[in-house]
Amino acid sequence: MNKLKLILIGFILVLSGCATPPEVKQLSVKQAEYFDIAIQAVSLQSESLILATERLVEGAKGRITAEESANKLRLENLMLQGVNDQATASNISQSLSNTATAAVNSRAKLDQDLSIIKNKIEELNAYLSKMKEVHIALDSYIQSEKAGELVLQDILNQPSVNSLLSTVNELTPKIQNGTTEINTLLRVIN
Amino acid sequence: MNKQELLDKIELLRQAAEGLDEPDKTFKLSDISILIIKLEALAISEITQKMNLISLPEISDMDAEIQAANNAINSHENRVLAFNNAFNFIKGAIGIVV
Repeated sequence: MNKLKLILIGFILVLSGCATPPEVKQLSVKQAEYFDIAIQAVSLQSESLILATERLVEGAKGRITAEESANKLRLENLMLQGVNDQATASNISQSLSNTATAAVNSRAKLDQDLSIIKNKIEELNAYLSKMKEVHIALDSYIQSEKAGELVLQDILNQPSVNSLLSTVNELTPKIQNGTTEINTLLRVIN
Repeated sequence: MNKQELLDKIELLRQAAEGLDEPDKTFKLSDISILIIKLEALAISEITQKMNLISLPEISDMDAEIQAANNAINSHENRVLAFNNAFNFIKGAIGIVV
């Protein structure tokens, strides 16, 4: 019966031989930390990019306002100089209107671009977080080796592969040579 | 032509317009102002274009892949449990004591 026990233990060891090596499990745990660091780094980088972009927008909007005011003043001065014909008056009015429209459109374009950049950054951050979730899913597969360990516990009351190995070491010297027990085993299996 | 080159050209136009008589001078300068205002709208367009080059997979697709993997893991665990139960049954049936 000892031989049968040994063979069974051997079978379980072969099964557990397919399990994930501890180094891989360790790397898997580390990988989650690496993702946290990457998420933090990208998040800081994103904040910097948004700050820099907002500053560019602020500068551009300032120059738009300055140009709009200067042009308005210039056109109003022309009006004050006295306009004799209808065409010039109409041109002044049109130029004032065009300037205002261009300023509104330009500000809107800047806001729109900034919003695209912010959305893309958000998307990128969400992607990284999702990558971490992908890793966690892979990690749970690696950790599901614990489910395999249930087999060991359930069948042999052995908590781990190591304790199984020591059991084998204890048993080995007790196994006798000869065919008697192998025949017993064959009979049991058949 | 980059933004600075455009601004340089616009400056040349401005200088040329300054030499005109009124009211043409004001109208030409007004056109130049509008051009500058339109140019300022492109202050961050290069950044936007570069950001738009980033093409990421749909989050919903990634969620689906994660769900599929989790389901497979659960089913694997169930198989292990089933194996345990089956083994216990066989163990009992053939009367092996280990």
